[in-house]
Amino acid sequence: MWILPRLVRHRSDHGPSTPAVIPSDPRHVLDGPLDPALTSVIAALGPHRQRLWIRRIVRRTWLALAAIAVAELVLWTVARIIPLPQAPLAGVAIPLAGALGLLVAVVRCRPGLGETALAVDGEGHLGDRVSSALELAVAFPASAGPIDPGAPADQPADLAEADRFVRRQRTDALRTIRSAPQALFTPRLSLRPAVALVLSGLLLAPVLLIPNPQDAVIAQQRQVEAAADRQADRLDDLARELEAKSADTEDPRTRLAEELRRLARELRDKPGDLDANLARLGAIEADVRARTDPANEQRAASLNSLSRSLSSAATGKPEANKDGDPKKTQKDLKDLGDKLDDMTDAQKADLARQLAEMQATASQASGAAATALRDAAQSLAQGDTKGAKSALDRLGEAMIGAERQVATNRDLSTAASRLQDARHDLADAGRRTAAQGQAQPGQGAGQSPGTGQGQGAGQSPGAGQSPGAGQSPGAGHGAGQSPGAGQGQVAGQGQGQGQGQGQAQGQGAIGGGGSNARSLGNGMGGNGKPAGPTNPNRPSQLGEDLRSVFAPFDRLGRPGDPSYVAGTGGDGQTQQGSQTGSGSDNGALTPYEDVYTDFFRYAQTSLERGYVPLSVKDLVRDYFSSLDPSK
Amino acid sequence: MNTPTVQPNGAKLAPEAFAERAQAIEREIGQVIVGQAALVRQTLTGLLANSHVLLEGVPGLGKTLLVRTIADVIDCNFSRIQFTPDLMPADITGTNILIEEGGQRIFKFQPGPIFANLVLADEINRATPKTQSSLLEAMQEHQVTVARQRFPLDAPFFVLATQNPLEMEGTYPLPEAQLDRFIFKVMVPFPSEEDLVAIMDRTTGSDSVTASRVCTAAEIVEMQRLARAVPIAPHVTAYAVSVLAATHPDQPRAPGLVRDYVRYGGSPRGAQALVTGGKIYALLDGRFNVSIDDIRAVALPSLRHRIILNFEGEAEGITSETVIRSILDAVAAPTVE
Repeated sequence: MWILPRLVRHRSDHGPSTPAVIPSDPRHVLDGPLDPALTSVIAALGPHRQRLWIRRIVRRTWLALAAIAVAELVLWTVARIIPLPQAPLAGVAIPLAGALGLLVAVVRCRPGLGETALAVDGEGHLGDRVSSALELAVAFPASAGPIDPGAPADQPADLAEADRFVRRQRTDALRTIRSAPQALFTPRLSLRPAVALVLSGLLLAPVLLIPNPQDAVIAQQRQVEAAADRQADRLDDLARELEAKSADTEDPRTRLAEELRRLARELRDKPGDLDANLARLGAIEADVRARTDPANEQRAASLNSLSRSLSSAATGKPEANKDGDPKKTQKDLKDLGDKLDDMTDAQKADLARQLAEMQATASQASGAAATALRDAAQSLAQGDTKGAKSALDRLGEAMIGAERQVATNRDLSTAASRLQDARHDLADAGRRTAAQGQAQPGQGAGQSPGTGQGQGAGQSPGAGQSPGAGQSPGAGHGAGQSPGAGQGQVAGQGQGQGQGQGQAQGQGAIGGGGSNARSLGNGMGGNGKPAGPTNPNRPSQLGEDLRSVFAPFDRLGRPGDPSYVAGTGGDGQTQQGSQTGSGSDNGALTPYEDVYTDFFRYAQTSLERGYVPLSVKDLVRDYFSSLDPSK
Repeated sequence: MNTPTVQPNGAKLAPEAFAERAQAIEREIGQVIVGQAALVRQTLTGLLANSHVLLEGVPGLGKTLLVRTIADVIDCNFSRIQFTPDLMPADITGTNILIEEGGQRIFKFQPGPIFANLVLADEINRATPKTQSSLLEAMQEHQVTVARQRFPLDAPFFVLATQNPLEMEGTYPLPEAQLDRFIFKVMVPFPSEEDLVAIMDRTTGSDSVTASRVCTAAEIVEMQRLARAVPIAPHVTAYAVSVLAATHPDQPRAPGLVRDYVRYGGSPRGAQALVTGGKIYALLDGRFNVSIDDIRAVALPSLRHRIILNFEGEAEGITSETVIRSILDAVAAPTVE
């Protein structure tokens, strides 16, 4: 009959017990039949063995439960201090491991016969009778078997004495164990594990029920990792695009593609290292921007203009190569070179004069083109047909090279913008929920450049909060507040307005900036009336004289003087940018009709490249449409 | 009083009769000696172990009476030797004397008082070491050598030596090597008041109590042989060895008290004393195997005179009993969980 387990305190009144010499099981050691009394002793130990095993199982179960409870308490307490994404998994694994360990312990703790004998002697106060019976059977194997009636009578006295004693002792042990109480080895519940289990359980409840502040941290980490993974994919896509466009292994786009792939690998390898990833992205972005020609669009516009002019001079048709394709120009120049021998001196001189007039534009487009152009003009002026032809060929090649360079720079610029986007997205993911709201005004501003939020005002102080601003070229590269914003692509303004890129761009390149700069659209075209884009919310009002459009140089002050662009005020912060740069004032006045195409093309490019709302795009198109001199 | 069955001389004694016989001896001794059950049991154990016992107690506690009573009960010869500083070895062992026999003068050996079955060596620490050694040689060898002639001592031969703890001046404490020959050192306590009353009743009246013979010397010899034949399980032997090893300060199992205050621990004779005493205790308990409890029961008398304290121990007033109890606490009985 089972007795309820009692709570006992396992306090050892003695020191560490002597390592028990466990009696061997005679059945495993001795050969031959055993004495019936010995067999009976072994059989009598059977029920006690089962009860001893059960007691051990109960004890180990208590220990396992206590260990699991303590381990869970430690785990979830640590999880409240340190973000542990694997905590739920560990929380499940602990009880499983505990159950497995308990199973192993249960199997291993099954007592042997000798252990049972010792335990019965100890708990039943049997005077070591049973254990001695087992050990003496092994120590005196001659006495372990049944009594042999035919044993020789002249057996040595000491052996006979030993045999007598051993058998008497065995009989005494059998009698004793049969009279021993059967309720030995009542399962005992150790106090310490029970207390540990209860305390752990009581402490675990609030730990589990109270929301864990680290959950938000873990969620943020996961967000950062997912964002890093997404950005890695974007970088891979960008690398593929660059590789598809690159010409050879020396192409900067190829090298950039390799860097981007490496960066993507690093993002995937360490997605949680937000700061390092942002630093890597920023470093590559800065490197790409450093390699990018800030005057690329200006150069492209100059190249376009030069192409048309050269084609016009080469063919004699003012409308030739309206698109400004350098390849066509090269062909035209080649044809011109073939016709040089047939030209009169006067024609050559005229041609030389026309070429000389393009020198300024050629200088802006390409240094090699300018050199070749100068050589061609000089050769023609000197009547050196052969030299002129050679120079024209070189000019054609220079034009192609310049076109490639422009395309490369545009790709690099695009890559830098996308790197900036990636960096902004990654930073957004790493930002805490409360802080993310702070970026919204900047984003809003950035995303609605058409609303004249003063992109040039740099409302996105480099925090990536205005991706729109970053991608609206007119957004003020100058102060660096909107990195990735501007490449100073104020084509057409370029002749004196290369500096203050940030500001200049805000000044109506798209017509959205709300700037009040007296730039293109500001109506200094002679009538003093505001002309051109100042406030996109109002239709442009053009003056009567549209032939000359220029921006007074003194608007920008002296080279190096800071320029300011004021937006109409948006929700975001307004920042002032200052830019130092070197501009050149060559006093050129360009007829409106001549630059219209450049401006229109530039605007188109910016619209395609930037995140510009459709309504604003329509507005810009309408604006240029109204300016179209051909209508 | 039940008279136990007396086995014919030379006949083997059944193990079951050992306890009966021993209890009869104790009962009979108890007729004369009031109380002192532990003293009687331990003295009898020493006798049955074919060894010797050292008693320490103040005068007048019945030490001489005990030995004399034992001699009466087991029908053995008894002699008492009062050790004094001027006692000579010949006074113990005997000597050759010149006698005239058949018209001739010859030297004839005259046995000393040691030629008895039970010898009471009273105040052995008063004699000189030379005299002590002559007794101790007889105790060890069970024979006496005089003038190159060896004279065996009759069995059983049991020496009960006494030491008076009060008079230490002018004494020659037994050296440790000699103390080792005594299987037990038994402390004779002062009797309780009830026992004193009984003693007064028995010793101051007109009637005197005497003990009857319940055993013969041959039976004692047989019981001695039987005691040695008791088997002991290996785990009990291992426990006895562990207890002895713990008396040595350099052993890992030694408790702190031993490490701090013990200079030398017990010799292997101490383990022999534990095992032999345990066997006898088992038989006295009616068992045929030695148990851990038997070893623990004989630990104090077996080891108290074998542990030598260092200066710090003596200065601190640490006793060997304290040390032994700490050893028994430290070396717990082997158990299984």
